[in-house]
Amino acid sequence: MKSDWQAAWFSLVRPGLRTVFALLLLTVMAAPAVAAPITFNTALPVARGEGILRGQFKYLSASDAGSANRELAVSMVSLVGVYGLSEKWALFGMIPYLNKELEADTPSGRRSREVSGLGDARFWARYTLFQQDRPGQTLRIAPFVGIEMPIGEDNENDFLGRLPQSLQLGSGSWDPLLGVVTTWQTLERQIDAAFSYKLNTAANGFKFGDLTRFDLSYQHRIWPRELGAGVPSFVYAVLESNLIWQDRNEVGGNNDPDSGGTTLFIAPGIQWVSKRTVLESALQLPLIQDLNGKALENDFIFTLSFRRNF
Amino acid sequence: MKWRRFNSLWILLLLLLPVAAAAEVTQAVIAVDGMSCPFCAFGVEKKLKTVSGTDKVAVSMREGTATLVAEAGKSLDIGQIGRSVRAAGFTPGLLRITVVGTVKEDNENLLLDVRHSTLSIQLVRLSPQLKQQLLDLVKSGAAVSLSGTLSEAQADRPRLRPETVMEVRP
Repeated sequence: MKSDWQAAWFSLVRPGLRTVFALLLLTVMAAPAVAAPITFNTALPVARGEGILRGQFKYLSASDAGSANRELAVSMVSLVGVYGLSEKWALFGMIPYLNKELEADTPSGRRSREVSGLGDARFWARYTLFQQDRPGQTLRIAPFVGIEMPIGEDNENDFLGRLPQSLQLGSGSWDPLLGVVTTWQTLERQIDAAFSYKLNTAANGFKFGDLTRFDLSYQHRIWPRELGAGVPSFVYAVLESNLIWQDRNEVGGNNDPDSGGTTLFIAPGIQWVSKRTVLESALQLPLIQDLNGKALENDFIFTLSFRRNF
Repeated sequence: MKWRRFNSLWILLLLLLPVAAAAEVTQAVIAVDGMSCPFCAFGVEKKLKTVSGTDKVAVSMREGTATLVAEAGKSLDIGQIGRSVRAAGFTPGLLRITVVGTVKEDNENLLLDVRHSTLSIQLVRLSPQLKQQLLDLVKSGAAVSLSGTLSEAQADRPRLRPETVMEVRP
């Protein structure tokens, strides 16, 4: 039996959460691990039998201007491992550690709910379908397919009882994903484009809306201006965009009117690339947010990461 | 006592000379098409280091090439070089090598028998001047160091277009 203020809290908070978490999870989905875009994957190769490790920190802030004055902060540290199975096939695995905190005004004052722990893991494989190499440049097209495994806890409770599904660390569901990425890279610049789809399945009587996204990235070498001998380190200025569509969530088989919608992020960033290490950072800012109902709006997503060749 | 020490030095010198001459494919420069970022160059370098006989690998982003230098007394396995570039996910281009061997004539073709190896390389696209120089070497039987570009093998025999020829002292 919930008290009045508990019920009020739920009614204020629930609607907005659903879009934001799905967006964050989707942002994580294609965590790249080759010299590549910062917010999604690439078609560049991983040498056969070699590995790459990526460590990534993300911070998401979302809020609304409603009477509840809701504020959401999500921090995530993820590890991505990549293995070159052959010159055409690369295997990816990613596991995140999440901290989610939601604050809202309730009739009994400002309340917060917080949860931390491992999130759902993702595994996917990428195949280089088309490859055209020329001196100093390459063009590649690579489809990928994978699955999100329900590793994260999906039945967390706090002093108010069970956390809403959107605040849980894991979805509880096995969610397949697929897509295709193309990369054109020269010594001066790189363009990547990716289209992907994630089919969310139901668990705990809840189903996140399916996700579709189209990503673009342009990277321009700003240093060194002239290439020297050997393998010099590069600094790229990066500009990316992420167009994301999410279907409405389903609760008990019914569409949730306060979920889903369309978001367009623009993400300026910077990337330092050496022979063995990549350091990079980007700030995803919502350019357009056409969200359904009372969904929370993203303020920004900050990314800081490194990659290491082994 | 002094004489014995002198003899030992002389024997050691004689032993070292053939070892130095046994480094038959001493250097190779492979064009790596598609290599256009430093992070990718690492995979190329790592794979090329596994080529049999390799001591050092130096990648040049600007030139789009990788240079392999053989270990002292060893020969680079030229057959592995292209395969290693492919294993790194890139496309091998022209391969230039420096190789030591003896030239012989076979049915109007000039061949380079790579010393201390069963490898035989056909010498192709020779200028009249270079051909004459090589024919003179056939007669003398002297060992030579050739540098040039390898082209596609025919009947399992690599083909080399030599650009420079140097006689090697035994």
